[in-house]
Amino acid sequence: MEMNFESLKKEILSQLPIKNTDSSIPGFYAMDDATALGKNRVDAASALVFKNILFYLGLIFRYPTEQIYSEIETRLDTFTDFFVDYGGAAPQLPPIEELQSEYIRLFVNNQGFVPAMPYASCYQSEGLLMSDQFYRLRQIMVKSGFMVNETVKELEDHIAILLEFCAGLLNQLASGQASSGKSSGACVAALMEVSYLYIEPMMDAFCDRIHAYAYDDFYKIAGKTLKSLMQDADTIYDQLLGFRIHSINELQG
Amino acid sequence: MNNKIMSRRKFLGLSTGAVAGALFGPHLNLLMAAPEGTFDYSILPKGKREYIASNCDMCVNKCGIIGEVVNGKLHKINPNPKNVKSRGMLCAKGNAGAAIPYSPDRLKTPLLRTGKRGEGKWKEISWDEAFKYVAKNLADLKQKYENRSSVAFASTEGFQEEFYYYLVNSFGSLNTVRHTTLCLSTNIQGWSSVFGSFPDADLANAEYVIMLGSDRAQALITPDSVDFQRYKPKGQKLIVLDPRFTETGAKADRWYPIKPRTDQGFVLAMLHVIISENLYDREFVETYTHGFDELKEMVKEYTPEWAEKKCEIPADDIRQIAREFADHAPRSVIYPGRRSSFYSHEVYVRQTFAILAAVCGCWDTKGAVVPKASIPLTTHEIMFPFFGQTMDRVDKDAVNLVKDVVPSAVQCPMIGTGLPNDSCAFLSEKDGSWVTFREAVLKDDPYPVRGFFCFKQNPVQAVPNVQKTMKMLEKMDFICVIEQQMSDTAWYADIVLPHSTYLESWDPAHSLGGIWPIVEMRQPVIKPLFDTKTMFEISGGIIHEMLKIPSLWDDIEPSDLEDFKKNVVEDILDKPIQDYIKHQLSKYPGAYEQLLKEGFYTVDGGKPVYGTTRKPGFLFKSKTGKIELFNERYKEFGLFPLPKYCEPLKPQDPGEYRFLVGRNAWNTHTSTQNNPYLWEIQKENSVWLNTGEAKKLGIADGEYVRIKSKIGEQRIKAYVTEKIRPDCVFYVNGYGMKSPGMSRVYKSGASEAEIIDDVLDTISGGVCMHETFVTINKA
Repeated sequence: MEMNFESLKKEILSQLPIKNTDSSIPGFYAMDDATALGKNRVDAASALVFKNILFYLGLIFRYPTEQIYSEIETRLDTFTDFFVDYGGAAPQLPPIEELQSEYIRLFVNNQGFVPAMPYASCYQSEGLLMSDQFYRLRQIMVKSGFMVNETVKELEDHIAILLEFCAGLLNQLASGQASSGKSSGACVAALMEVSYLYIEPMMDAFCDRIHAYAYDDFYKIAGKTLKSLMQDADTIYDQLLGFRIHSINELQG
Repeated sequence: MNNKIMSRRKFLGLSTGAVAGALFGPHLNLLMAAPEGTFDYSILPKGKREYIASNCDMCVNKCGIIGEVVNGKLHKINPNPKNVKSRGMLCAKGNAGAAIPYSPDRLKTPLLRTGKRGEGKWKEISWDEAFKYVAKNLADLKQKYENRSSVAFASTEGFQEEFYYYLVNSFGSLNTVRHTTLCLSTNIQGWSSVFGSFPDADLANAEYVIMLGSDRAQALITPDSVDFQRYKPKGQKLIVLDPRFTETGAKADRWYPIKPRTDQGFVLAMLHVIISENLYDREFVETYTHGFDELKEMVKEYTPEWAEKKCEIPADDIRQIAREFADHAPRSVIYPGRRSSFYSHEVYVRQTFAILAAVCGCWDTKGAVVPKASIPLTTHEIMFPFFGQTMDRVDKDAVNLVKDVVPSAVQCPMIGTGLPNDSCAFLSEKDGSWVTFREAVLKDDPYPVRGFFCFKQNPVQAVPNVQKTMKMLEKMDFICVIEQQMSDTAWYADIVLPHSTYLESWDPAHSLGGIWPIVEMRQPVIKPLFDTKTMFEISGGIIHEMLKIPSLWDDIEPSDLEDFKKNVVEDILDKPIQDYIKHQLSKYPGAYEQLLKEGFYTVDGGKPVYGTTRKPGFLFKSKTGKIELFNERYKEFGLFPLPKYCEPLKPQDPGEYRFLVGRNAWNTHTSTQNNPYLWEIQKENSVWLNTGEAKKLGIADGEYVRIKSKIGEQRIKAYVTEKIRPDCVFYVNGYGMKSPGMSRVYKSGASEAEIIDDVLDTISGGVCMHETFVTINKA
């Protein structure tokens, strides 16, 4: 089933007590009443698969501590077909010391600048951390029942957190936690917004920079995979949620 | 829909078994369930707005700022209109500070080197691991070299620097080296040789101002830059002498393109006129000074006609300026300025300036040069342990160490090497001398230095002759850098500790001396991002780990260790920094609260302070207790007691130009060029080249050229202009970074560290950044 997103959005906005009065910040401001979005049937099995894919990609884009490295290594075979399908090859995991230094060089600190900044804010407006949209993201996260663990000293728009957040939302949809029309709709709205207004806009630059600056193929393949996956997001969401978005502009508030 | 997409969608449908079954444990989650009420929704979308007073840290001035914070994010930095030092001004750099905490390039967590030095291989470690690692390396160095001074500590000025010295003193090294000898040590030494202290200039009330080589319109100093802009148009007369037609020169009543390093000759000739024509302040000279007769005798030979030949300024103009200066005295200022790391024997240049102020009585009164007043803070009475394994400073024997970096052409025959014969006597023990220190380390003379700590300084870029600095770093067993960004120096470290930005931290109170003395401190404008710490916390963490290693304390008395634990660790480092600040301010009731509210504190309404040293019985910090026109200590140590004229270095070959370096109003040395807002103003530097010379060389404006010294070579765009003398070239510093990762300024313009030779001023230990000669050719 394919729905007209624009009319859907209008319907939502007309019912809202909170209007999107700040035109500089895109978004619905509609999650409490996004009931209409939740009317469709969710393909729970596919949602669970996609959730796991996103969670695993999230792990890959985290600093590889021994625990994370071990988790990536253990699960790599499971996701080999997926990488081949989307990234064109199966990634080979280098030794942990090499992966750690490569991660820091690409995503954390380099001499002078970070080649592939992992924060969505860096790809918005001025290229700095914590853009205006950042607070909107924090709001979506909390309204969806999530917050960054207090021991984690990272920003909410780090790609690893964004992917984990999407995975969490998919889990809510797949597991029936967001079962009512209202909560399901809010969950879908959050998923759409994070996917299309935070992750998707950073994909080209982020993944292309990984490809340009990475010494090792592991992150090159991971980056290519992530980019291809997000390019395919509309068709995936169509399958999972029963509607598709024709363009990102549809989500601009 | 194409087949590829179909294939991928099939993946979701068909390959679900293993992927769908993949279970990730909750221990892997970055996210957790948000409790009810976690977020205050009411603040969106309009936002909760707060205004928090603090102080800038984009350069040395520490101007008052008001952080405008919306929803916890720094939205804008505004000037503090009430701050008496910055006069309500905030420059481009201060405004651009809003980008600092939000720079994705900033250091975020402690990093430990895993590859070779400079290879760029790191791993993240926790602060606990970092503190342990640093403490262990300190213990290893102490054990290996049996000398605590085998570890050196470099730093630059800043509010947190005093806590860096807690670490230095807790380890017990005497080898510290600061930025001073790269900046104003010659100025401090020259003025202090006369007045016993380095003064400020009262540009708000001066009637007549002479600036020699200072570009106050570009190299901003508060309140001077503000006062100069404000009072010059109201009738103040300004004379500027500079080889370049600067922005300050553009505002002057008269600008002279003086021949470099002949300022001293110009001022000596002024003294000749003023003394020979009895225009000096006889009463002031008799009351306060020592050595006037010797001075009078010395300046007899320095006639304006003599000076004209040296500095290429007409003798009649020198005579007129001298008379005008004396006529407006005491409201005449010969401007001390700040950075003076220019020429060989620069101390004598600055000594000459100070003597001119003294003989005209332009001292410690309204509109003159005025000693800095201060608001004394309460200090913690701390006795750091006296360590048995601490050797004297490595650069103590300066004469032997630096003879290679004092060109023979500037070694005055009268005084042999031109160096003080008691070696390091004129260097500040705390500041050290960068060039001298580096020479000592390179030569292992008198002992090896193998540990290097660096706090917010970037010697790889800032100290002339980068090749020597790299060799020095190569010799180190251990390098620890505490920084906000991955600087070129941090890149070669073994461990990098991320420091919080000035907008995220509590910084202790500081009394900023001046004509308008003020106390400032910093409070967090925003909550810290990432896993960074302040020097207060870092020193505390390392010292706690040091205390767990008995070998680090085996050369002190046990009772000293107990006192140290009680007085330093328990009473200061283990307590909140706010307690430290409150103690500092304890004699001023309400000061802490005012600092929280206003960002600064003054007594007596922030009025200027004049006349302290003119009170009966006041003793100047000199051997005679007077203002010394004739310096008795210099005489004792074999130096010129009077500032006899020293000839400038000359180019060795025809076709060489003297290289000058400076700064603009929107950058601080080498630290801000990559800031996105400031980069918008200037994306690369260019070399100023006189129009006539450019024509001879066949170089057009905007064309790229190669600039080459005996140290190195750089590629840079030519700025062909009449605004510079034919015998000089100039560019601003901070561009042409070596690092391919310095995204905005990599290969944009030229670096000065690659060009400038490490010539040393013989008395202060300061570097002479304008004693390098270069050739220019088409690129």
